[in-house]
Amino acid sequence: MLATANGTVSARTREFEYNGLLNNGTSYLIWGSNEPRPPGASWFRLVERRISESSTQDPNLAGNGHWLPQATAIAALKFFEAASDLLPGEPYIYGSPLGDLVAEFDGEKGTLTSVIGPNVTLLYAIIGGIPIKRTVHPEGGERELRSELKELSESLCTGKYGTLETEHR
Amino acid sequence: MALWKPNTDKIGPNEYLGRRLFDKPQLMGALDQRPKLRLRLEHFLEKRGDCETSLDRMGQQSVDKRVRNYVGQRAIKAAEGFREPRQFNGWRVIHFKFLRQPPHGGSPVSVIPSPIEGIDLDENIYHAHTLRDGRSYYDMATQLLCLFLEHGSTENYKYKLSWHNRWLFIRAWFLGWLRLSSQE
Repeated sequence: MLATANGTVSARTREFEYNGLLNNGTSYLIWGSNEPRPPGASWFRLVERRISESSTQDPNLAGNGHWLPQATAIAALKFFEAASDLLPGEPYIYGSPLGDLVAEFDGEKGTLTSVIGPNVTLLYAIIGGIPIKRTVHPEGGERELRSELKELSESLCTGKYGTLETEHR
Repeated sequence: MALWKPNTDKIGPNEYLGRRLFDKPQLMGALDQRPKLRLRLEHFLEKRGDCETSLDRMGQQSVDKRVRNYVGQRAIKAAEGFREPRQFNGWRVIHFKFLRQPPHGGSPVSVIPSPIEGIDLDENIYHAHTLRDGRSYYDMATQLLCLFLEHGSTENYKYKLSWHNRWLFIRAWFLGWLRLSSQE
């Protein structure tokens, strides 16, 4: 999407990327070298606290459903900090038996489940009973994460998905 | 009429399969979350990553009440046997055809009978499990979630918690509250 000087928004590419001027005339470079983040969602601080207070350094406790390994908690905090504004709403979070954080979101036309671990984040959108999977690696950075999330979030609103991909990717 | 004796070689084409639904532990920092009542991914995540997903064979043509009672008793015992006792909330039940031939495409889910030998409630002749067939841990759980959510129905099972387990629930809640209070 492209934000232009007079505030109009036009579709440009599949990627979430814009570098323009907002209505107030100030330069708002999002994905340049000096990157101010878009404002986080209203529930971000609440979820941040929940994750922080569930973090443990004790490897014996991780994976029991009550505690998250510290590396997972850090990855999850980065995930929400980078992309909370794109997510459909406040998530329901829990720990998986493998020690990852699972965050479930309800969209208008489906659900989004994020499995966040230190090495990889899996995104599963379920629309009309069909799973769509995306894998995001930390090397891809915020840009890749936001790009994938934006596409899935739009699909959750419209119920449509262009190139359907099922669970194996 | 005698109790249905399931074929131990394969699952019948019209069988109904149930996934047990247990209460799940909550993150210590997220005890204030409102629980989601719908089916979640965690209902299909097994404890160990290398495990296949366990199912109960609920009936040959429909959910058989006597089979349901048989596996229900075992499910309650399993719920009480976790390190932290949990509540058993019934099953999500699906017709086998939806697993064998997923309506929206996708790979079929193989299910094989795997009766558990034992004495009394340790035995479960209706136990079965899915095969991953190359899927990852989370992919398998997600596919099952989609299928059970879209084509399944919930089968409730009412029972009363033992006093011992009620006490354990209260104690777990209190300890969590105590920990959070001490942090503030």
